[in-house]
Amino acid sequence: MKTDLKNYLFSVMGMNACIFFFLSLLVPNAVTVKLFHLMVCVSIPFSIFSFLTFRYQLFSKHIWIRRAVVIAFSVANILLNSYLFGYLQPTKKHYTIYGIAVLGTMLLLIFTYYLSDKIEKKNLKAINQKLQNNKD
Amino acid sequence: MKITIQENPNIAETQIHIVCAEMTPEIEEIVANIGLIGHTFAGKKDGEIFFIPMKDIFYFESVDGKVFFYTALECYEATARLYKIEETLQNAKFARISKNTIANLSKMKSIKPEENSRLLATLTNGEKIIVSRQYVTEIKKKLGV
Repeated sequence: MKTDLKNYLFSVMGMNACIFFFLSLLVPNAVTVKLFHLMVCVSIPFSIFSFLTFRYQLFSKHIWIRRAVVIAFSVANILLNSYLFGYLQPTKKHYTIYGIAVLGTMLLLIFTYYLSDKIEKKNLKAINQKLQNNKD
Repeated sequence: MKITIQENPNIAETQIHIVCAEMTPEIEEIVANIGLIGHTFAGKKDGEIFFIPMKDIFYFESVDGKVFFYTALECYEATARLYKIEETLQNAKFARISKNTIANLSKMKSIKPEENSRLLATLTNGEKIIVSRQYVTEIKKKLGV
């Protein structure tokens, strides 16, 4: 478990570093080390919670409930990071934009899960067919 | 260590006798390696060493630094390490299905996902073992899918 968590956290930090790097290229004046520090401090607890949700089935044993929790955490992560960067303004235009971004993220994640389930089903079907043929 | 070889054209089956003061890890490794050559695996049970044919083994499992292997009814402690067993079984119908388990694919009936997203393999003796998702590709390769 320790190794898995460590690897997972390193991946999350690596991803944050990449995002930070590209953001610093796009908006160099707005991005500072302090903001990166804040971003990491928000992402890591969310990531740990997501990891534990899957690994220890914190909320439910059912896979789609756990996935829903992770999606909710991811969306909250994005919104909090946006707030820290000062882009979450209380205007109708910004709410609309962020609503679309949140919906888009959720749909993307749900689609990714759906696709991975489909691929796994296909793989298992092929494997079970082969195992059955070996028995006959 | 002294090695003596006696050639005798009259004997039907090759025999290997190991004479030692006591069973050490070194001797165990020698025994394990001899077994691997004959497609059998050396396993300890009740203080005795048995050579079990590969085709009778359902799976190998590493627990607390020790490796055990299971036949239909028995459990033996292997004298070889899991990585060594995996190397030997590269061309056989055995595949690593999780970090600690190598299973005999010809003893496997099916692999099904569970509600909580785990994959469970059912063996021909009815036993169920966990399959890790990251090893599904390896299983596919071994089965030639």
